Amino acid sequence: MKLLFLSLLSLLPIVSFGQHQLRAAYFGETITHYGLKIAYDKSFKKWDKTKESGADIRKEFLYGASFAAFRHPHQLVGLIASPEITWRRTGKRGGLIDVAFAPAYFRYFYEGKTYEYTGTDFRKIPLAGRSAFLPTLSLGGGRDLSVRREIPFMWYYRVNVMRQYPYNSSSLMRFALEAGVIKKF
Amino acid sequence: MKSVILSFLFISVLLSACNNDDEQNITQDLRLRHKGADMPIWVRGNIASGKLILYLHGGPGDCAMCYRHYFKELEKSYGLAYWDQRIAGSTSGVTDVSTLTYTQFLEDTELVIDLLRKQYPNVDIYLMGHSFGVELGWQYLAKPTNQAKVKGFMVVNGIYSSYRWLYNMREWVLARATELNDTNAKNFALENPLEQESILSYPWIELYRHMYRLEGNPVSLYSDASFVSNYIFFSPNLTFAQFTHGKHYGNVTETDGLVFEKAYDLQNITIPVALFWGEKDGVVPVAIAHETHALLTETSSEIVLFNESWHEPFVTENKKFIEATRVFMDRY
Repeated sequence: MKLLFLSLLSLLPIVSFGQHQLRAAYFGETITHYGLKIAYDKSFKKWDKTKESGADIRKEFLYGASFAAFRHPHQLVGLIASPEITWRRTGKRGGLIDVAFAPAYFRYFYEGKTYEYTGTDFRKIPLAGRSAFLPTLSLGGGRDLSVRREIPFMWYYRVNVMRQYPYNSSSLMRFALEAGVIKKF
Repeated sequence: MKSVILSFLFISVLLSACNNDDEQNITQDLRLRHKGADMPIWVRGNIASGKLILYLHGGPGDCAMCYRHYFKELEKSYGLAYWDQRIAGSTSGVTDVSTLTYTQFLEDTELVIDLLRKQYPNVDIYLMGHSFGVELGWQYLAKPTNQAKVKGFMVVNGIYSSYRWLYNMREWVLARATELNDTNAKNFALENPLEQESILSYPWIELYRHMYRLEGNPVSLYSDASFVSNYIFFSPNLTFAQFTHGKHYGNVTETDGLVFEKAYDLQNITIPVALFWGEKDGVVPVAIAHETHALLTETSSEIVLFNESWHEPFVTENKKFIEATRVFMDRY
């Protein structure tokens, strides 16, 4: 909870500048390994183009930060904090295509009790877990509802492909689904 | 936003409802951190029975909790402890590959059993080893002081000697190749006689491939939809963890794995032993069961054959397997 609060606080200075977006989404490997993700994005480079047909297309780069928490029951509780950079294309009807990269920090805590052998006895380790680097590539889509109906929201989904370093003697591929809404300010 | 929050709450309630049955059986989620490995030990089932089965999974590199699907019925009668060995299953940590040795696997086994004994001082522990897990079991029991810590050992299609394993696999390939008129496999076996002195250079992987091609173990867990859905959605296993570590076992299977020999030690085993065997298995042929039985001269041992099974009789003849386990557990 403390980490969540600090993460939210760290977003505040960025939020105070110009046009920005806030994301809130379901985040999890599956529906049974569930979690939440919140993020802040800000557009820093965009190109608006009108096709010959009169259709408006927008392409933009966004940067931001995200924080996710998820639970894999009886295994671990994971916290992921990361800066993110996103490329987004918004079509004439508001359809979105997203590609994002996030060099994430992953901290996980095991569920249950963890013990370590001291040489003579077993010592319980409080809040046992590990830290890892979790570079993440995301691909997704959605719809910007402000394009046709002037609703300042977007809905979106992403498939996140993550690689956890280190994991045992090498690394671990992880996948996560993300689906939620984006509020434009 | 409100609808998102409400949906999330709804899903959470739904999931907790789905898990209620599971939650009732939970005893404890334990984990042992040792030499870089964070190894989960999930204890489930009827621990009040005073009997706990520690499942020693195969491989090396298989998983324990992933098989819970096939052992759940046993949890009504006994406690079950599902331990994922170092780097296997959904064990986490930062583990040096140099720790992947038989000596280290034995040390881990000893610590897991000591931890369980400490957690459940009034419970009798039984071992159930499958394939490579049987090698762990024999290693553990080869130390007489360890035999006092467990009440019995259920052996499922596993070996006591690498030499006798390959000898019998070669015999199995020869017989099966003759039966199926497979000259390729037959010629390979004939051209590669096994000698104990040169076992480390024996082309056993090729022999293994011939055995598989001759349907020495045609069962694939992944063709069982209920197993797969349970594995992905309802087990604590990390979905892709199972497929990350195979490449790290090369050294241990090519060295320790080929010189494993406990024939002499079996003659000093005094705790009860059951030998559960898939009779059609080509991976560890049934001849090994009979040899093991003959070597266990200082204890009562029995062979239970599963004539419609290969390497995993608990998958292919589950009801019979559960019943055989109950008979052994209730007798001792």
